[in-house]
Amino acid sequence: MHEDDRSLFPGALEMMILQTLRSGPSHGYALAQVIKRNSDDLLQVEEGSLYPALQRMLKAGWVNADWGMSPTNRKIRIYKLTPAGRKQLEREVSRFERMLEGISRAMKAVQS
Amino acid sequence: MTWNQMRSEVEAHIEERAHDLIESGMPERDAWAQARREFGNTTLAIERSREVWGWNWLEQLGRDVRYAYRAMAANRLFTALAVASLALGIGANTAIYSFMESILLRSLPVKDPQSLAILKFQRPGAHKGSVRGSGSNGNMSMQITSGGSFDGLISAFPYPAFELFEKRTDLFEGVLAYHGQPEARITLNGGSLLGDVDYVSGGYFPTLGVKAALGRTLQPEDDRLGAPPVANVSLGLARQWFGDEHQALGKSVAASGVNFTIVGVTPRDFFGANPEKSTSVYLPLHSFLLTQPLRFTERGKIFTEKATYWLDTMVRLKPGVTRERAQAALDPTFAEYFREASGPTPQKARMIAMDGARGLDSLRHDYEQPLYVLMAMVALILTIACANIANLLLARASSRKRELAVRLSLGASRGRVIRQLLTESLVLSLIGALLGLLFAKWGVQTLTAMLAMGRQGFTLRAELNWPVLAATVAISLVSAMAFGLAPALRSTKLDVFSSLRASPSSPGNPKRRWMPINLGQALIVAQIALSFLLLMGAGLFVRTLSKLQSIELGFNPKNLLIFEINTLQAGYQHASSIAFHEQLRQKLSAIPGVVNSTLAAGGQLDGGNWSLDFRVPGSVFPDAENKKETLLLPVGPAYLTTMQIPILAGRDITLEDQTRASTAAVASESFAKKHFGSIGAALGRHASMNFEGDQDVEIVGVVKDARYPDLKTPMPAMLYVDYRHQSGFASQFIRLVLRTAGDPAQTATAARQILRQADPGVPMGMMYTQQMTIDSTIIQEILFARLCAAFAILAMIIACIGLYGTTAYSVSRRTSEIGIRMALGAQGKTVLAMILREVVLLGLAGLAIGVPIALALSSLVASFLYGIQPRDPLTVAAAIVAMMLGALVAAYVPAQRAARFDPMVALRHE
Repeated sequence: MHEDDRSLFPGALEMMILQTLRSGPSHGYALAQVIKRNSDDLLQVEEGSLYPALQRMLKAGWVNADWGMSPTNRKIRIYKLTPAGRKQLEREVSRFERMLEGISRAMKAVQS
Repeated sequence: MTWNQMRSEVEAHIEERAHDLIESGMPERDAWAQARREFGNTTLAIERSREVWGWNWLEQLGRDVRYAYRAMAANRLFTALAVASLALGIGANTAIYSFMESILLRSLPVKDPQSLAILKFQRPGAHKGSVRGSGSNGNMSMQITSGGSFDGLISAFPYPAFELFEKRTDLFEGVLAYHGQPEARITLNGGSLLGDVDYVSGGYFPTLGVKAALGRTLQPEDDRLGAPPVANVSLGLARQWFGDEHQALGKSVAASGVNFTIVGVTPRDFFGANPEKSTSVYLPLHSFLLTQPLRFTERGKIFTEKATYWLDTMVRLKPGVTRERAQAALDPTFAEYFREASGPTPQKARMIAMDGARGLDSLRHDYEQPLYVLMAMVALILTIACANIANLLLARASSRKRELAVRLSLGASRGRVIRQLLTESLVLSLIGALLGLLFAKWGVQTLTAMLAMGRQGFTLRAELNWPVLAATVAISLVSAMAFGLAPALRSTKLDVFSSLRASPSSPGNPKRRWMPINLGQALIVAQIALSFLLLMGAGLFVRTLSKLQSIELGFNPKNLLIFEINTLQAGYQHASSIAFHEQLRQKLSAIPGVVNSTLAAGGQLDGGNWSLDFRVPGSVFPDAENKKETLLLPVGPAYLTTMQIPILAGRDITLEDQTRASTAAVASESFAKKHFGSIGAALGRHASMNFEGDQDVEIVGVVKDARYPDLKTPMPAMLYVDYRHQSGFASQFIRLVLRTAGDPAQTATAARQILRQADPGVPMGMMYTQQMTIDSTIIQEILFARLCAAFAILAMIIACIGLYGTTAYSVSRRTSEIGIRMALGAQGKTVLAMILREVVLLGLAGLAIGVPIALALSSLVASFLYGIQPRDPLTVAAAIVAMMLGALVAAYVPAQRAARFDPMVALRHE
């Protein structure tokens, strides 16, 4: 399911979406732009994988979706972070930080 | 959330991106292109989004089905061939198995049929043969053979013996006896009909465990002398004659002129204890004394006569008692009874208890083995059909390699493609299964009609056997999917580039190219072998039939109209019966078109015979001074002339012979030679016939031998005796035999009318032609020959379908090869010959396998053949020729197409 994802690791995309949504509700295109901008285009996110990820998060209950209008007057959905989603984000972040810590320690051990 | 909604969202995304890019100065087209590129595969995104919610599979299935349908419509020939093969295979199998199940396996619709047993007995060295159709009769030796059946087992018991069985409450929970009267005169609600009446003992319904659909069934208290006369009728009869079965209760039904009150209606499924007939009216056993004239009931003593065998008996075994145990326990009792009852010359008998779950079993016995053979054949057909499907699918899969490669390269997942191919196989199989179902229904109806042709009052209705249908559908489905799947798996593993580049006819990987051809050809060879088996079987049975149909009969069977009447049932006495017969005969002979007319007390070829003890004084045959059982046929005047049995000496029986002192008789040639050495020496000689005392018989003529009582028995030494002297002869159903100038059927209506005018109270039995009787005797052979021929043709068609497909495919694969050959100078004829030669090789390979197997198996069917050896070389040769011809014809069209290739086009063909 994630083979085409060129994110760093599974779950990274979801994490970044949650993080972005913390600042406020957003629709698909805007999310994509923000993520690209924030990572300075370092992370290549295939935009197409955004939507499946959003659906997964909808199913898991981390986001809610409302119908709205795009700037070009098309019907789209606007996604909003839920309290459960907020908690999930905290969990993901701390997991990521622990992993990072673990890797750097391991690397230091190798180097020294 | 629907597809369209997702798509809208995705397109909005792309649109927004494009607009942003345009605003930043990019030209519109480039902006859109970039926006789409950045987004990636929209379809994939939408699909995967929807996959999250799990609805996707249903939509995908729908899309797969539609795609499958389109693919099938595009390849109409392939679809037609595959579906046809499937339908034929499934249909034929299901029809035969359903039919088999009805005939062989259907149980009586009674409670717990497994614990029922039919009682029969056997006399060592018993006369084999049966007398069918008539009611009871007074003479002991007649009676034993009349209760007999094909296998020498006798199923008729005297009433005192029945009482003996009833006492065995240690063995049996219940005992029942009944006497069936076929085509008895029944009067009800103002009309009359001929129907089957069963006189049943009090324990009949309780033992069978059958409850009335309406009212009550007959009970033991109804079966007493002096009990009020009550009756049960079948649901069919009640509805037919009263409109509604509720109207039947309390009404009156008369049998043989005696009134009974209807107190109950039997359930719909219940047809009596004999599956060959359908009983209309059930009367208490003791009422037999009321309805029958004295001569039929041993002057009222039939219930105490120890040696009158007239009752069919069934028992319900107690729990824990096996049939073997019951049989062993009953045997000494009955053996002793029989010894006592057989009078001055004590005779032996052995008790047999047979499985009663399915009721009397003559039908089953007749058809059991042939049906097994048919089952084997039909299984072969299914195999051939599945092989066809396999071949067709394999061929098609190879030719779709490129299409699949393209789809894979466009982003379809392997699973998706496989799933879609499977769906195609599934849809194909389902359509084939549906058609197979229709074909099966039709097949079952046809089989039943064919079987009923030989029997009157046939009630078995074969129903479609759903488990078998499901099984055959499953088998076909599995083979379709397996053979659709294997190449699919292989194809989707391919390196996409190489298969896109390679044309179907380029060498490619030589090893891989070998596989599909070899498997396909192997299947064809197998199909040819199997088809040969069926062809050979068909050939044998068809020839058996033609031999039977050309058996010399000794008389002229054409244009003979026969019908039976029973004057005794209408109350005539012996003398008035005979007078009535003669008057009727004269009136009938006055019908325009009737050339000759006569009477007989039995049929020449209906399987039943009369035999009595004759003493022939002065006979050269050793020991003929003592009584010897001799075959005879009681006939009226002009019988031999009407039947066109050539008279060799003396004369036919005439009207005047009635007043003679001795009974006139005409001897058959064998009889004359056997007893008196020559034909002439028999004239004027006397014999003594033991029938209602000793009767003097004088031989007044000798005729050529004729078949009696059936087709296959050698022509016997027999006597045709004047039926008028003994009331015992005239009390049977008497047949009127009319020889007509043209089609006998045309005289039928006139004959019926004349009878009704003469006396409406005399019921007429069945009316038929002699040819119909002959056909019904060999009905089994007719059935077999027709079915096997049909199966063989079916198998050949299916195999040829496969051959056609494979050849067509092979030709298309080798198009450029053929083009090269032609460019190098090969003629169309050469190409044709080349392809046909390959087909011939396949055919020979198939025959090389099929012929030895057929020869080995043919001894299994030897018992069904007549006049022909199982390994008859002519039949083998004919089957071989037929198969090769079929194969060549099947391959001819595609081969011809190849021969007409334009080399330029062929060479450029990819």
